[in-house]
Amino acid sequence: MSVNSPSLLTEAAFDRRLARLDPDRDRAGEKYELLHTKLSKFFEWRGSPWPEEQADQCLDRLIRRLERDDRVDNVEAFVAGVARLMVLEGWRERERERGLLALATSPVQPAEESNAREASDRCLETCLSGLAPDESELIIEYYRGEGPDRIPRRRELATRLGVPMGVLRLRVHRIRSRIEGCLRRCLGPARLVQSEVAPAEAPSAYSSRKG
Amino acid sequence: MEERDRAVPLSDSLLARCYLLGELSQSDLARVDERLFSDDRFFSDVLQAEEELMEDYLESRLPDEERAHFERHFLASPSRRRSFEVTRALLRRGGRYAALPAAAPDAAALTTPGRARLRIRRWAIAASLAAAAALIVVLGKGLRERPSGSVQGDSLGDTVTLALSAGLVRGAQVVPELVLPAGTRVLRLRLDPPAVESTGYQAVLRTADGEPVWDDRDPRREQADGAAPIVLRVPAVLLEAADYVLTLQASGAGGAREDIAGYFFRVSAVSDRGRKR
Repeated sequence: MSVNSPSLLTEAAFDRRLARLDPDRDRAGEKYELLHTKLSKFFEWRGSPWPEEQADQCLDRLIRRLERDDRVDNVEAFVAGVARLMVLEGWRERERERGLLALATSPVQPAEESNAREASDRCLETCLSGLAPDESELIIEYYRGEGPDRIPRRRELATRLGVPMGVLRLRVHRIRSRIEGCLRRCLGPARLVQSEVAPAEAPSAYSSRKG
Repeated sequence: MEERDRAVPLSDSLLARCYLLGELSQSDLARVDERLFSDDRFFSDVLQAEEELMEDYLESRLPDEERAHFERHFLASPSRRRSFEVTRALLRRGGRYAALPAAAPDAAALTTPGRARLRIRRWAIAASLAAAAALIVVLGKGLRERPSGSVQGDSLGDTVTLALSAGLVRGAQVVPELVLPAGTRVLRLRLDPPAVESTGYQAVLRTADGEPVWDDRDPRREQADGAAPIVLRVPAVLLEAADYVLTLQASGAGGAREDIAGYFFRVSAVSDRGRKR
């Protein structure tokens, strides 16, 4: 993780960096959050083992560039370029980790699977109770029901909240990210994904980032 | 990994699906990467495609070929598997309530026809109160404790608490009644369960005309103490002005469930609550 990660900055220093994205603090915060969400999903979809950290690093590069030179005409295009470069840079490392993964993987016995499911369910309840009430209600409602029945429920939920489906999906994603971090802390990294290889450095940004 | 070259462009939803399953050529991949950052709508399409793929896989709706791609490509990445496990856990939890209907729409968000339907539904509920009395008697037959108790309400922040003593169903002279003020998100019900031996409880909330509203398959006591009240947290958005019957069931050693208590209360009014900011 970069030493300049936002999680390690003072609030004032972070605010100064945000101001480079937009003079209006709220709009800058929204832009930062959306970019971070897009980056973390992008790195996840492109196979990075630690997408949140890479999203932090990518935004660091953007902010450093903005500090050096205000003339970044298209922030999104710049970020996309840096992110793609980081994917290429990380390819060799991921190949190495994939080798380790193959070595670490062992068949899961049914009893272990059942225990893991129970532990996961217990931890999920703990994690849900740690969310703000409106967040836990939203995520529970979003995943309530079975099969195609959930689709009209979700549309109805978006209507009730007065937001488009895309905005609802983003909110759900942010809550899910926090649940994922909480589950990892609760279960331990080896339990959430049994064959997962933990990184050498603990991902501190996961626990400090706001939804 | 199989890559697809096409003369005809894919729809965005199919493109998103192919992207997630690792089926795009390098040139298509680069275009998709760029669009994720420049096109918010497309980013949302990919989020949706990911959600659908994971849920379709978990509920066995993926065709064999896509299922194989999903296992070989999507689940090959630790971070995607973490996300997948979160979906699996949430779906497993959500599926416990599968038999329940969708949440009642927030009246403030309804269109005029929606309001008309709601009025009709409320009229139907009012008209069925006589039938509800019969339902309460039927429910009461299985109860081990007779009605006697009190109700107390208090409100803290976005939570309204209603304390119900066992057996407010049968013969109750005063129906516990509450108003959900604006901003209420949770109705917290504190129940005094009868002293019965059980391995666990289940609570089911229905309208007085028997329509399921919500349930909790594993309600817990407020404290580890075996005599502490059971606390339920009902999302206020599910409640409208109506009469409700809450049934508490206990599981025996063999797993059989039995109704052990019933509680009756009335929501007399709801303000514009539950709308998220």
